[in-house]
Amino acid sequence: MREISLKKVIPSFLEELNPLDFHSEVWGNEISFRKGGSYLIKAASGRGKTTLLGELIGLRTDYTGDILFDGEKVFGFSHNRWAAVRSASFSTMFQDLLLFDELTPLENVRIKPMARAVSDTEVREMLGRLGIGNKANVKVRRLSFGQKQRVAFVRMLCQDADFLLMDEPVSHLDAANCEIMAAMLAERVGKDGAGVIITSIGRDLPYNYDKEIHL
Amino acid sequence: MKRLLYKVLLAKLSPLQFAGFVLANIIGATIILLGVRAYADFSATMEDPEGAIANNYLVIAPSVTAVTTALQATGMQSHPNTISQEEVEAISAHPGVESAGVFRSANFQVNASFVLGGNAWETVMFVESVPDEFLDLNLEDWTADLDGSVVPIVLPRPYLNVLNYAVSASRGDIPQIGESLVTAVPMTLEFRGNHHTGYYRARVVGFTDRINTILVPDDFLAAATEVYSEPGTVPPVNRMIIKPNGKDDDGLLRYLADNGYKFDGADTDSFKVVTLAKGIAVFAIIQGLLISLLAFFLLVVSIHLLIEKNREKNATLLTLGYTRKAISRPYIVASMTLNAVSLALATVLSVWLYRYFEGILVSYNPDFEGIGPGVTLSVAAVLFFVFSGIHYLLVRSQVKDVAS
Repeated sequence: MREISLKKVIPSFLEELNPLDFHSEVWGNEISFRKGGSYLIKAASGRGKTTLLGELIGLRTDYTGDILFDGEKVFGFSHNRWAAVRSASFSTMFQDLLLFDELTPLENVRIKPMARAVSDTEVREMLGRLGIGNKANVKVRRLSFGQKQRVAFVRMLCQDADFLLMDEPVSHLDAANCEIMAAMLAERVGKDGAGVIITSIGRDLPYNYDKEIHL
Repeated sequence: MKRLLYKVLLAKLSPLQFAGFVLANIIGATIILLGVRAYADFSATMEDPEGAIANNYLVIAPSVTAVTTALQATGMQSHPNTISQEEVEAISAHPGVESAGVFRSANFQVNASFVLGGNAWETVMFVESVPDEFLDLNLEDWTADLDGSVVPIVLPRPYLNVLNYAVSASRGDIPQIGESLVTAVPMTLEFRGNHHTGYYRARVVGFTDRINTILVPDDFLAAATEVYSEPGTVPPVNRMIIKPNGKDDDGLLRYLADNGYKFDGADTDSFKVVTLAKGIAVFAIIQGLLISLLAFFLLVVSIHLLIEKNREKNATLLTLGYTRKAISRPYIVASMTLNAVSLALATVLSVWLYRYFEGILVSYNPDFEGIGPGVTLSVAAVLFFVFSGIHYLLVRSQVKDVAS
């Protein structure tokens, strides 16, 4: 997938509002995200950051307007088509992380479809760079939220994808870890030229964004 | 990745619930498998031409009950229970019947006189006839006419036994006589009716175990009926003789019983035993099915609860890119594995237990040959595919619902 286009998309929770009451570069407008580009989507709480990512990966369909992948409308995609898109075109780091508490960080990376390309050694090395290398075989339920956030980030990096989606990825991390994550993200994008879409409520991942978008 | 998927989804599997299912299913399936094999063995016995009633004969008559006796005694029913022409045709047309014939009764007075042991005997008698094909005798001399030829008579062998072992033993003036002596005793039959009286020389030519009446040739009795019965009266049919073809013995005997006929025949006892045994086997199969269905229900509920407990995990896996099919697989594999394990154990157990049962059957009937454990394996396979198939559809449907 090379391009994601949104055409006058308005999520259901905004439908009852007067368009003049909100100013958004995304909702009700036309916008495209290209593979290789990096986008920071900034917004206050309740403006639909998580909703936008949910719509892009087909988890939410309660909106009007059109979303297109390489010019093809996603409306009517089958369940299996969405499963393929989620496992091959997108790699997502969710705001609530979606890790399995009974698995270790290593296993949480491994359980993701299409995550086979990276070896266990590489995964351990990535966890080590983020300061949790010694937690690779500890059940995730024993980790702090900040540690879990780093595990979810590594899991996202380990999957081949056209676009990397991150929903408030550094909300619980200090500046040092943010710098390391930004460096790791840049290395990864440098290898395969993936597009990057990151949402932020205020604390941003310090990355070289092509475009900052206000939701 | 696959191992991790199973680890995540089956983490909350309750070993106690599944052990309960396995145990209950082993019990239920073992009973089913034993019942089916016993039923198949009994059925094979019935289909064997030498086994049950095939190649034998049945003599059937309407049941005499207290009601019919009372009706006759009070004059409300003039004839004993009879078989109508329609019934004769219906029985003859039954798919289990090869051939059928009716008993012809003499509806006129018959007396017999003979000399035995130096004493002259005279007695009221009755005679009947059946079509020749149903007699188990050498039929060379089995004919007579009204013009003075000697009338051959066939007696039931039990009559002679009663005479020799009961009557003669208790009374000193009646000697015991053998079959050959009886056939040498000359006899005179007196027929009286329709204003005619006739005397016929007669002789016992043989004995039968098959038919419990005094028989004369059918053509002779037909001719005598023309002369001695009241004009316009048709002798009622009281009994029929049937040769089953062995293709539907079960259905034939059930038809006869359902329509109020009682029947006798050389091997009906063994047939009745086999039919009863088949009934018991069916009863056991039903019991086993009930137990297995309850066990299956327990499994379905357990997996259902597991999928519900995993609702969030299922949704997460879907979000990570798993298909519903992939998410359903661990549940289906768990269900099929438990099913397969319990059915395999039930198969082994039933084959082992059946060897003892087979030993008992052989001790009663040394010729007994079972049809082997093939039927057990087939039924176990059918149970596996039916239960697993149903559960596959249920799990897919539930996962689709949960992960949507």
